[in-house]
Amino acid sequence: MIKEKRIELLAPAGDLERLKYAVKYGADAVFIGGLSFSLRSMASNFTLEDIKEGCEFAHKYGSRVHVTCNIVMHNSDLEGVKEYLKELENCGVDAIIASSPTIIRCVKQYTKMEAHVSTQQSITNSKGVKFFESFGADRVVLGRECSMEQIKDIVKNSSIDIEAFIHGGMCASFSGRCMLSNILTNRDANRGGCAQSCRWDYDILDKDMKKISVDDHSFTMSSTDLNALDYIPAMIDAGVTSLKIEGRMKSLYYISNVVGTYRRVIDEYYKTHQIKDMNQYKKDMSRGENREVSHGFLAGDVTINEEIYNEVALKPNQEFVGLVKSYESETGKVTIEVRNAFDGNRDLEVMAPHLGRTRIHIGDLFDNFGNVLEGARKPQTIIYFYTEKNLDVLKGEYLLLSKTID
Amino acid sequence: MDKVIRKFNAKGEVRLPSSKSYSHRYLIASLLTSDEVIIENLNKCDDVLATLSCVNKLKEFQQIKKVFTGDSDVLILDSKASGSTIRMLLPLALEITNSTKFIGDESLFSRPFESFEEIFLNQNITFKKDLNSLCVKGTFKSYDFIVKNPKSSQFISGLLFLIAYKQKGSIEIVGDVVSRSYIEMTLKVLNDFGYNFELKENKIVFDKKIVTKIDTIKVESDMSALPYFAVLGITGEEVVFKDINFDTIQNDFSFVDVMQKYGGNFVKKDNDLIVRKSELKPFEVDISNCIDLGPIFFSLASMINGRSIIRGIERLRLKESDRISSMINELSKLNIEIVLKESEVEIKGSNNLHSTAIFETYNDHRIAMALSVLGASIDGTSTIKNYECVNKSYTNFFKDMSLLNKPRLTASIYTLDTLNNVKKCINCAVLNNFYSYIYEENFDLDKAIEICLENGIEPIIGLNRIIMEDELGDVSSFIDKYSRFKFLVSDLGVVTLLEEKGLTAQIIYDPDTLICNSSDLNIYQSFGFDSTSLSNEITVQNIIDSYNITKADIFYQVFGRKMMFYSKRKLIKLYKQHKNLNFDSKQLMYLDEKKRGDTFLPTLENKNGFFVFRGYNISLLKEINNLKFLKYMFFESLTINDDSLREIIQTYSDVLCSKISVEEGLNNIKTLEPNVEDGFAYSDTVYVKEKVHQ
Repeated sequence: MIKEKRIELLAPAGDLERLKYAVKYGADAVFIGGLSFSLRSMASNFTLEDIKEGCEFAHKYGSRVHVTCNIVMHNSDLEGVKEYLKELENCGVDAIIASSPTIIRCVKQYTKMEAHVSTQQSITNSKGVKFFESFGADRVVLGRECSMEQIKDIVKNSSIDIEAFIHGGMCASFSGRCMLSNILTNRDANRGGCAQSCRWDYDILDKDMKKISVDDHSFTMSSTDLNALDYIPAMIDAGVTSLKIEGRMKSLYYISNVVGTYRRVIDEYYKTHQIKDMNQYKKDMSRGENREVSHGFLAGDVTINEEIYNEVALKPNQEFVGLVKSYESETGKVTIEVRNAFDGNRDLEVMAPHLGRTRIHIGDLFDNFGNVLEGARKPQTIIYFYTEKNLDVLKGEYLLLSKTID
Repeated sequence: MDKVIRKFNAKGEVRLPSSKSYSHRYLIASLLTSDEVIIENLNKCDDVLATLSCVNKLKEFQQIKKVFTGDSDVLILDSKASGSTIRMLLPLALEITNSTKFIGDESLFSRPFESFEEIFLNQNITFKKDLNSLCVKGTFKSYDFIVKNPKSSQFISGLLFLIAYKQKGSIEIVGDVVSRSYIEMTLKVLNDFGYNFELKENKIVFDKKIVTKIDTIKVESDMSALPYFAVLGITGEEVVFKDINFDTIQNDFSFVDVMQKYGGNFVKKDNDLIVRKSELKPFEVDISNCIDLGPIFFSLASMINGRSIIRGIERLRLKESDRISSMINELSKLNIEIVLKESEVEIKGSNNLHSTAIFETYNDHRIAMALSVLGASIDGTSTIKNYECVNKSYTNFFKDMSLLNKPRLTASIYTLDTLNNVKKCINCAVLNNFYSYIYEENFDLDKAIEICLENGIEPIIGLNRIIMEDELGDVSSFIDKYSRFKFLVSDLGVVTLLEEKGLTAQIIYDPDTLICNSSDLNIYQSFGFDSTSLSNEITVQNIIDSYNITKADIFYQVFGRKMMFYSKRKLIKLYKQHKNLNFDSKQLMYLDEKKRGDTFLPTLENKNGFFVFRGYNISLLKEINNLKFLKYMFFESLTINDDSLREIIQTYSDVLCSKISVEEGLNNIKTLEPNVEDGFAYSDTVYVKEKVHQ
């Protein structure tokens, strides 16, 4: 029997830690940025050593590593492309994501890595895919403006791999065609400096410079984030190769939550050909979100529900508090690394790879020397507390703790 | 000095210089009538001006009706360095004055005058020549002349003017008739003034004077440079020769007949000759009557697949260089197979030549011009040694050649009004329609194309929005409908559609912001597009560097608003819905972001989405002379009123042609459109590399 080629869940990772969690929470592949040629210059990008370690880790668990080299290069950026790509190959990188034909050609000419065409190219039709197929690319990441119907047709009419976005921030403009940040702040969005000027507040004036918008600065170009949970079955049925989660700058908790949720949806659909309780997944997902979400263009042209005009940061109902370092089953002692402040004697949620969430009750908090703490206040410190003995959920690895926000 | 030449697709107008030979002759012929004659298109070189001043002096003399009698009476005429002036004017001047002294450059009087000397002495006319003057004194007793072995046809011409003036007489030529065509030229000029001659073997006899009223004479163009530029039109795109006399008797014009016979796309339109890109068949030609065409026929034959034959080449050996050897030597550098027989040469050409040649020019202007045209017609680079030797006949040859390689001024057109307003000053028009980012709903594309074609403007079909999967079929039909034209494209899917239809060479690929370096430019250009754009978010130096590395054909915005945000979302419509507002969002609007200072960003929304433009017009006029390599200079017309747009484009054009200085141009622009900035022309965008936080 031929083993079914399953869809790839592709997650972002801003650093080695997030890479490991993404892999453990079920990403089939992660994409990361190196120190050169990569957008999101403010995301913590990877040194070659980190990339090597990341690749070794990912490969151990059967996952792949894609490296973004997706800046729009100026003449001064051209030097060292080939050498850098060869270094990446030596580190074990599986694929390069790029928009520049120079980089794509170098990948195919000098390495055995795959070349993926970045969404910066705004490919929204199968002829565009064909252009890059002829050029030697292995995969095209579609523009986020495609509807599900269009994605289906593009996959049908293409013979190379198609990757589609399913989650995370959306550019309001066609990616790569936006110069707001360049012009308004001199920060080059196509070279990693996007200042997200589309999210600023504007007035609309008519041609005689008379204000026609209401309130002050109430117009913005920003959009809701993408959440394609409802479309996962359709994506799988359409034959999309890879489902991409955006957000190399997002937190460890966010990534783990999003990856874990999609993992369970995808697995359930492959197993049962249906999703029994999508609402539960949506509820899980929303626990880590901090922006409004929608299905973007997947249902066709965006409507008022997919835009934000007076953006109010949505408060996530869960706040990440720490990473579980160890659990003594016999005593119920849990040692953790603190990330955000919390107090003892309350309920916390444990998130575990492939399992979802479980509620536990904890007692007093202790520091390393056994002193009772009024509360966990210092990020990165190691503390411990006690909970129930012999809890299965705490026996796993890569556990994350969160508290419900009142 | 050396000149490096690369292929370019010649496009543009050529005004051939006015004919010097005709200019001299018409001026002299004007002495035959007392009517006022206006001579248009006179060549104003030093030699012709010398003739003009001599003729004016003679006319003055005629008007006072004075006759010289005394020994010391003499009219002094200064012919400077012009042999034509002295030779063609001398008999007539003597007839009018009875006593004339020609002065001029010393070199003039060391040249042969034997023909005149012999004739004059026979008639007892004083003929006195020294180092810097020539005096003639006396009256003609007979106007029937016998000229033995004349060294120059100008002697014959000079006598013909005299005979016409007297309306009697004849010339019998003993020995070879040299440069018969120049004698024919003189006869034609005389004929224009009503003087008819009869030709009998070696004798030219005055026939009759027909009374004709002449008021305006137009000097025709000198055709000797026509074949060179015509070849550039054949291998390039389109060369238009303005104001051509199609009835010319100049020998070099026979080039046109030969080309038409072998597939040359030559069209006569009113007084213009239009030469368009053509697939020539191998040709056979006899050049014994147009020997100067030899070198250019060699060049042309080497670019045509198959064997061409050039006959009647013997006299080619006797020119400024041995032109047969010169051309064979140089063409062999391109591995062209040439078989030389006694009086003919067979050249096996190829339409796929690639040059790295360094061409010698043998101090021969026609060899230099023929090889330069070859270099500009084939791939690779050709180096022309000692290119200045063209000065012998055509000082401005390289300047005029480069005019055919000048940027095409191209405007974005949204309405027929705008098109009609700018049609006199643009070369190309991007016609925006439903498949462009921005378009006017009622724009009549077909009518616009018609207006373009009527006005010699190249229409470029705007097809620059991003296309969705379900639109591919419609786009494909749209392309089929306009498949004769070029397309401005920004979606690589559309590029593929055009490639599949075999229209790659009609693609102007402009992905707006995405091409910022020479390497990407080089890759796109290698697909064979007509041209490729570069981003406006890089510096002028970056553009120049990218061109120097790639030599690509570049489409570049030099003026106007630049788009900086292109969303498929109808953000205004949604905002109106959200706030329950009802304002007109079909018109231009502005976005105002107060926190960062007053920037008013022009904004438009249509069926294609929502667009924001920079708050100012970019203008690269300051750098225009460094950007002459651009194939297209693009003017975005959005937010500019039609009159200003026309004046702005005209200003660029005037600066490009050095009609006005850059400073004057900048002042014009400042008055026409004060909201102008350099953009990123001098300062690159910031590449934020540092890590800001973990």
